[in-house]
Amino acid sequence: MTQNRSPDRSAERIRPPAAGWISWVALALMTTSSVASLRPAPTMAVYGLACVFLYLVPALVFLLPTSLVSAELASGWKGGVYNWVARGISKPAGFFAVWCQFAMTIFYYPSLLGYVASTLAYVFDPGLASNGLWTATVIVVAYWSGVWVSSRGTKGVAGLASGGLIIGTLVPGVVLVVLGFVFLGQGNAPAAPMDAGSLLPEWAGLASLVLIVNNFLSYSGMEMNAVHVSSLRNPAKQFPKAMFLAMGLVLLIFILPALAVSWVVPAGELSLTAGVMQAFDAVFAQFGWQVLTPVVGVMLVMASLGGMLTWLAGPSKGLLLISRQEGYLPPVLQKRNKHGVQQNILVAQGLVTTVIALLYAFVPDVSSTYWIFSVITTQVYLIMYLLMFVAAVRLRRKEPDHPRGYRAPMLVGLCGIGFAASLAALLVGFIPPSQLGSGNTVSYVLIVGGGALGLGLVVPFLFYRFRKPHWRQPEPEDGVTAEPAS
Amino acid sequence: MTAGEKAKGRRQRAILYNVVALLSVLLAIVAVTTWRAGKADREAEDKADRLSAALAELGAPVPERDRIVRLLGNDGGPVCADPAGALQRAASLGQLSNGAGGPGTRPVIADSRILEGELAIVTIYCPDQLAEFEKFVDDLRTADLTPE
Repeated sequence: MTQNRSPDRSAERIRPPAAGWISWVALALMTTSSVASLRPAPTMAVYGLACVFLYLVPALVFLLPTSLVSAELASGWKGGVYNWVARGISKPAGFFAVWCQFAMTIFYYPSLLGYVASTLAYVFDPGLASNGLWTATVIVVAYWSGVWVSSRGTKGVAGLASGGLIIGTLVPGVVLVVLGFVFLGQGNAPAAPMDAGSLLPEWAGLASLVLIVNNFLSYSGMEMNAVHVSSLRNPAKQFPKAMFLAMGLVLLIFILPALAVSWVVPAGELSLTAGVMQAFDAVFAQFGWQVLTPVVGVMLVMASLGGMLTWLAGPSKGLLLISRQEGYLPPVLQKRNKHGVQQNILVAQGLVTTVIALLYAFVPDVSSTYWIFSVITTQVYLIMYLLMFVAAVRLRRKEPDHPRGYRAPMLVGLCGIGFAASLAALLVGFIPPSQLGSGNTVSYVLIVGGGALGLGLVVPFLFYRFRKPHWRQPEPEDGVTAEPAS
Repeated sequence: MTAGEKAKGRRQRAILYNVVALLSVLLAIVAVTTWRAGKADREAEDKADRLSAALAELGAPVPERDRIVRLLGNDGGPVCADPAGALQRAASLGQLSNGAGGPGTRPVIADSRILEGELAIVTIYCPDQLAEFEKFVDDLRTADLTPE
């Protein structure tokens, strides 16, 4: 433990080299890049003005608590969710939390890169979208390129993720919104009604509940980049600033482009298979600017790959920190390269992802099953949030005087709301979605429940149970045990 | 870290950023040169009229005919590129989800209207694929989440 070390010397040890520092704006852009994209814009545009409600309610009950609580925690303790939960609850719980964050990404990459493949197909040759070899090639090349870039260090990831967000999300998003306003300014009626009566979605019972509550997950990941807090020059002040900027950007990126699409493109004109590309194409077709469609396609791909980089670099770093301290993973998985990056964890994760991606591309008939697994991983991720909110309250009580750069207002209330929202999303995950069709509900509940227990509890328990004392490789420079973040 | 190592790190990142920028620009150039908007001919106009009528019948706003022509041409463009194929079905299932743009993406019980429009497009532009696409749509669980 590092509590007994002199603060000055500890600070010196934990301070990253100057070349490793990133700015708080870069961290804000990384966070935004890992959470927000234009991809869901056409999906949400179908709900018209009600999409504002569908984003704002989850923002109040999930985004705000998650962001403010993680800003307080990161401004007080380095190491991200592992250290927060380890100190607030227990070290095994900390490992459990970071495992849940890491495991969640397993089923994310194939769907994200499948989207990249179909976006490129839309641009080059629509026929490629149904070509398994094309999809598999794009997934494998993009993923392993991402692993290579991530293994070069956080600063490169921050630069590419920030660049991807600006070029691939902010610029096309602004273009979409400006064209939406021009469309209305030309005297056209919006394709979706924009009166006060359209502010709320139609209440269709369980289906509405599923939609609203599942939208809480739109903001999942806001805490993920806290693991890079030690890369900031003044984490206590800069991390909260980064979170507030990210919160604002995420809201703008989700709401405004979805609204703009709903003004210009009638829901009936949006097709599922072509997704966001068709939305852009339809908007550009309105103005005779379709030559921009392929350019935007490439830009959207850049944004997706930038977002992928942040997810590659974040949770696996948290897993490495706890594994080295407590010996929860075999030494081979704890090895780092000369840039200090957890390369072997990335490679191991890459092998699993490649197998899933190849199944996704070559056996797509199992796609319904794939989506059930993606529910399982988000269920597991929600467990991490439950632990985080409990840990935050306990840390306030256990260590009230621990220096924090930022203190969230009404922390207990925020954690209560965030906990309740996460629990609601967890429970709603057991309601069969569209993809299951008329399938057996009991089987679905058993698969999701069993899968979440297996991936979220059994696997980390096995790592914990079979850990070896000589696998521990604690390092003071990780600074994840006692150092305040300032 | 020495000044030399810092400079080396900066140089390596500059190379990385330049390579990524160059690849992106090349990709964009290839994309623009291979891009084909919907083919405008008599057949495309006829199909656009039929789609307009179908959308009107569904109670949906009807876009300008020229826009439908530029978007879907005479063959439905990307919408009709194997809409019932396994990979396209996988992509469609991904769209029947919540508003997340990251790993929080999760399937929901989707609105039925999003399927009605695509069904109308497939009916008019690629009727040979309709039976299989209808089978896919019929297997989905949907609800009326938006006003008519």
